[in-house]
Amino acid sequence: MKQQFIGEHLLPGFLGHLFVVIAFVAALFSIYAFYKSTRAELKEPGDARRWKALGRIGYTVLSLSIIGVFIALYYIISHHLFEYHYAWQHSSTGLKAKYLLASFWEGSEGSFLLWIFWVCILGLIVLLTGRQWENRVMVVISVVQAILCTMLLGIYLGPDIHIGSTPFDLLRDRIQAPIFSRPDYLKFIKDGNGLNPLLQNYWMVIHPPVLFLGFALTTVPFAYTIAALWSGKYKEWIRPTLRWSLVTGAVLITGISMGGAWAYESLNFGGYWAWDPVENASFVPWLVIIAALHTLLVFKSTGRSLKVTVVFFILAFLLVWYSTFLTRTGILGDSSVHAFTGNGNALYWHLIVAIGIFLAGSVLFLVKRWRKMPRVAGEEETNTREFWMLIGSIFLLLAAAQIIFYTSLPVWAPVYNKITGTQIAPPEDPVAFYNNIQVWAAIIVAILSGAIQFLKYKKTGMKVVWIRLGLLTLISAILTVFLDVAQVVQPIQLILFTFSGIFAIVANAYYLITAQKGKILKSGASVTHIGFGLIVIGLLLSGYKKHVISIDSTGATRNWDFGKKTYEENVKESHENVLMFRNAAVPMGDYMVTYLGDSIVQNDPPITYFKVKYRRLDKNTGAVAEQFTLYPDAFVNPKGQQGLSSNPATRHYLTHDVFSYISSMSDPEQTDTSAFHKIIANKNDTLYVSNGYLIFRGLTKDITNPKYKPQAGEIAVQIDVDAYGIGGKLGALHPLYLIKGNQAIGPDEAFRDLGIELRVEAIHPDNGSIDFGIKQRAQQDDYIVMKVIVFPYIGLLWLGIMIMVAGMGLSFLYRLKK
Amino acid sequence: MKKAYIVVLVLIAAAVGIIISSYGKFSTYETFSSAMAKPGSTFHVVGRLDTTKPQIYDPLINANQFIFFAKDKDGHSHKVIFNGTKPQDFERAEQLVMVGQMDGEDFRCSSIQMKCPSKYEADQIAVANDAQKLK
Repeated sequence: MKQQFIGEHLLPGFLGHLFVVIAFVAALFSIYAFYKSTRAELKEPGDARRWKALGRIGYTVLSLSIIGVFIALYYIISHHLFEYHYAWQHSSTGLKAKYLLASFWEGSEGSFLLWIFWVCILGLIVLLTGRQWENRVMVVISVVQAILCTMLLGIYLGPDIHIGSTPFDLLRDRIQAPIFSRPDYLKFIKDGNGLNPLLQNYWMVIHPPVLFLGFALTTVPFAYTIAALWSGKYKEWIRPTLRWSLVTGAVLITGISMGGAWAYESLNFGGYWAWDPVENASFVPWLVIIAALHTLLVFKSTGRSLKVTVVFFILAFLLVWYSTFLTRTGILGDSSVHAFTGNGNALYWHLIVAIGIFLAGSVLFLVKRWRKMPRVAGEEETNTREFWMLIGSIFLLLAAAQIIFYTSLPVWAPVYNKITGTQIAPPEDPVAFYNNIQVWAAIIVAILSGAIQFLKYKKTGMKVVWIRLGLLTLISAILTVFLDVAQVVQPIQLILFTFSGIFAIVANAYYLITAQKGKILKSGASVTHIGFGLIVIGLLLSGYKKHVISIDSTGATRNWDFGKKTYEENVKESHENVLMFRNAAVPMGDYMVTYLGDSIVQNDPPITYFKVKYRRLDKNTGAVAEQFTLYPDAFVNPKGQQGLSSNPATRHYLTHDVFSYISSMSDPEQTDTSAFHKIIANKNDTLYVSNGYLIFRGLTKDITNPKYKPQAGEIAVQIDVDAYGIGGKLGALHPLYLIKGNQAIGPDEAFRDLGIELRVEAIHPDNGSIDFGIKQRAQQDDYIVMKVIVFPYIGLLWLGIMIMVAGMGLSFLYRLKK
Repeated sequence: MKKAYIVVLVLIAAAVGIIISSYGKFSTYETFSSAMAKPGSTFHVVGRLDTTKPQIYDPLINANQFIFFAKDKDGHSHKVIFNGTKPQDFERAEQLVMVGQMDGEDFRCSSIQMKCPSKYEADQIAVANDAQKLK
């Protein structure tokens, strides 16, 4: 007999799973219908119309089903139905409502669903705007959708062999435990695992949707490209593909930058970009899309570079899938901070098959059409715009190839090991490794982005160009000297890097003013390239001039020789964290920094805020020139884990950021060596503690202390005490005194800002005085270890990204009107 | 030959140059004993925490030093001196990838990557030296 279970809600899961299956079938139907429509296009226009209508219905059913899946899963998560494995694993009852969506796409299945959802929306837009392209493009998009849907099918062929993975699996099916033999097991599953505290951040709510929209968008230029190969109408292919690829480029870089901003703002990786495999995997398709966009423009104006463009668009799409393969199958293993590990072999082979299908299909089309693709006789002249745009695009591709090749190291390492017998590992310092090579690609691309626009398509009179370029080079060189002397930039490649960034800004601004006469709608390219130049300068200053100011000088002699040239470098290398006792000021850079205390907010899990005061003293007078307080926070021992999971706090200036996070702290439970001592106080008496004072304001029977739970036969009195620090009132304490029969107790009341605990030991009704018990944590028992980094001119980087995206938006609007 | 082809050839040559020039920059996976044979070079050592021996992290003495013992794949246990704070959830890691070099019997470690059997499905990374520079 089948076991019955009490309290399970099986309907949403059933509906969700059903919708996945309907979506998959609808996708297959759409493929067939749109394909039939293309076959009938010429001979039977009536049939073609009918098949197209059917295809549209199929695709609409698919989209509605996916929305149904979305709603079902959201319902399960938001209603905390922990009988479902997905809800149990990724959410908890205490999770704030705004993070429910974050737990929705924390898991692999949820993020696939997000991806499918976006492709649905984009497909519907193609239905509305595709016109003559609709049939063929929709065939390709439906194929992509069908394959994406298989990721969610969750058909089990054996205990470890399954096709796809459904988010609607029940907890009792996924996990083997004796508890699931009880019909009422759900009574014991009170709460889910919750969202990783590191991901409880508003960036986790907005970054994945934007990034996945970017991933989904690469499907559309790809689909148009396949459709162009299919129909042979390359001229008509340009317009829609140009628009779509502009949107793709803009959205994808926005998503990637949001990831960088998140890493910078809320994770203590110590920066916005670490060349982490997951970052690289999303960046590489963007580079290729940008290359494709440029060669497409070449094709539009000259009829050249068609083959390259077609290959680039296909490659960008395949790279999105390859990056999914890299980041979700666990193949990167220990080389990445991000991970969707544990999806096992099923997803590994599933993705290989999916990529194989896309690759085989694309190659088939390419091989069949290669010879027939139109080409222009003769070769490009070197004094033309198209020649140098092609060169620039190839450099973008080379940059992409370098990144993806070394990011894939864990993929090809086994082969390498077989041939050479060496177990190759990633470079010791991946950041320096990638920077050293990518800096050259950036220099070349930035210079080209400034120079190329002065050339014309097909033929250019070079005389005027040389004069202009010479002038712009001179101006940029002078500015470079100023900047690099002021900022002490020394290595040759960084001086060139500075020059390339400045040149991109100056040359594009000049072009914007002189050639385009400031017509903003036509100036998309120039604006985008100015943004790129600003990014280069922002990267240079915030990356190269970044420095740690929390240098620990006390333990330095203990330190081991790291092989650096100077003693200072050695110290810096290993001593970038400073120990700070409460209330003891520590010098850091220009600041005197003081840890003032912490306070806990009872979220899920509880979060601790550390109050850290910065004061900058005037060097001559010694007076306080500026002061501010930062509140870096951390989850302390979250969910039974050991240690800290901390979030930085940053002070923003126009010229730099002061970035700080907690790397360790005293154990709040173990190191308390202090004891209570007794103080007798009358109303309005003051009680002094080491870093402030308390004033006893009186007692009342109106209990406001939230910890109080009334009990029968108990009399409760609340004592009101105000707490003051050096800077003024900090808050109030309300210790309780509970009398039951001839027993009386005064529970401990903590006030963490002063590091004290207060309790009432006795009340004397005759004179209204109170015996307080008070203890303050010894200062040496209350400390934090903190790291502080200064990022100069990081604002330029964010500004540059925004301008670049805005520029692509302008280009899109311009192409839309034309 | 076409100019474009010449340029493409130059670009390919540049790419090959990049690959060859970055060849020496890679580290290798070693055990403690094979790393000891090459002192002064930096390696990746894969191992696990030796729970029978003590761990020392006392920020009051040195906030940037965490000492523990780790067993490599051959089962040899060595002292590891990590220049940084003690990583979160360190005891739960089922595998440690330590980057550093041997100094006598001790392993001087600049970065630890941990593989956790964690419910959060997230690998932890702890890096002592994360100075990101465009050198």
